[in-house]
Amino acid sequence: MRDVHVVGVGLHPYGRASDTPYVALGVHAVRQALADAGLAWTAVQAAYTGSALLPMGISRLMYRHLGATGIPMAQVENASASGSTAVRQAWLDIAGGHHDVVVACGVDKPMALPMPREAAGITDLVGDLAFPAVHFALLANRYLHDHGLDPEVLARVAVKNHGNAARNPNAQRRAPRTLEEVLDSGPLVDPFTRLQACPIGEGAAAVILASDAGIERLGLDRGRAVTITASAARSELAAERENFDVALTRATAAEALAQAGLTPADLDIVELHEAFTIEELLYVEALGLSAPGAAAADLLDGAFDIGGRVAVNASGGLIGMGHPIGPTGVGQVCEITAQLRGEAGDRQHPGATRGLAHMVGVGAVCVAHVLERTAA
Amino acid sequence: MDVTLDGDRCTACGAVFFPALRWGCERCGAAALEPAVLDAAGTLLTYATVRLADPPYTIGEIALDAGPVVRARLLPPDGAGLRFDARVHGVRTDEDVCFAQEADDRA
Repeated sequence: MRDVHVVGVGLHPYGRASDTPYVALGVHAVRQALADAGLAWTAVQAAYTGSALLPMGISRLMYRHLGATGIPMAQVENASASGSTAVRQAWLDIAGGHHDVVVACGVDKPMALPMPREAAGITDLVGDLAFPAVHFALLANRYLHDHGLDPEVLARVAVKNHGNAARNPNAQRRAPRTLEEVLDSGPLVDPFTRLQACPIGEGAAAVILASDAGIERLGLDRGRAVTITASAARSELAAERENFDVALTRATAAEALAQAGLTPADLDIVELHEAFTIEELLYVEALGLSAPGAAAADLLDGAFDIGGRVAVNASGGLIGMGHPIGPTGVGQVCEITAQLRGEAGDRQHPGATRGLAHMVGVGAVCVAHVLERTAA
Repeated sequence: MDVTLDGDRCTACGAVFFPALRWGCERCGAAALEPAVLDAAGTLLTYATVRLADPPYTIGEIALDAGPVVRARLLPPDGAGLRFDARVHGVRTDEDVCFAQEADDRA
């Protein structure tokens, strides 16, 4: 397989759902990514669009505004991991030698929130009563019970991520929050309060990936290229007693790190799926960044702060930056690329050279990418 | 009368499911599953109370003695007195099956 590099990144700020058509969001992000790469649209040879809440057939209606070039394009749906999967498709395309320059653009608006279990003919005892906040609250309560922790530690995850988002001009939530504000933000599902859950709004994120041949032929700036040294994707195994979210993340992250030849301790920056605060504690353990049961203590020690041992969700994460679904996984790659280039401004993690992006999606699926600054 | 749940069992590997999988076994891929009536009794793995709702309700995750882990509403709806790892059993209320802690397992 060939090496694959991120050569351009672009974002449309995440925000509450508005009347702006998705086309405007996506075109904005792609134009920014092209400008960042120093590329013309005519150099892009294929396009993957990550989206879960928009109708079918959205790709060409968006990309035509850049000039119709007749390239292959497809919409990639994989629940919350739609954007990550679009990045992976672009990576596969280049790694496999099919193209040299490919765009992955995540774009979404909350137009429909379908219920896949219902469509699959599954009738359980709880139906819609067990919505996503309930699923993660069930995990949270067991985790707090097993480790003898106070629910306040979950609010500390939100304080960190809202604080990071306050320094991110593309974040949906720009206000720093105190512990009291998070704890008093209104009831949701115990132990979560409202500011411990991600907002689902709209936005767009785009990355342009290129092979070495593409970089050379087009004369792109190799010094700003960041290399994707691993791409891994898995799905849930037959149900076991063990928490499947954790098991799936552990297996996918291990596969990604092995592919990159790294250990968890090598990571400087991690963007992970924390739609709800508990997920950050569960996944830093599953990724091997904390010993089992030690995530809360590490968090309180500042290990996951910008400037800490490994910056976790420096973008603000799903809770602070927002979770518009399709863009989210692509936006993680934009953030890690900015961090590894040393271009993350106010939220720059010093010395960031290796990062990991992680998303899970209902179903359940998991996608992880490792990015490294390898250029001289 | 004891409450039961209508699940199914794989005729090849014996795995038991609720809700019924019907179209093929998740564990081994065999197509043939047979109906299995499961006792609504097991252990409470975890629970969460939904405060957004008025009145609040509580969802639990229960490891059935028959094997599957199921989610169900718990009694009382506000979750008062529930304990992790307690024995719970099914209770039929109106149309639904809820679960409640067994008497000698109440706090």
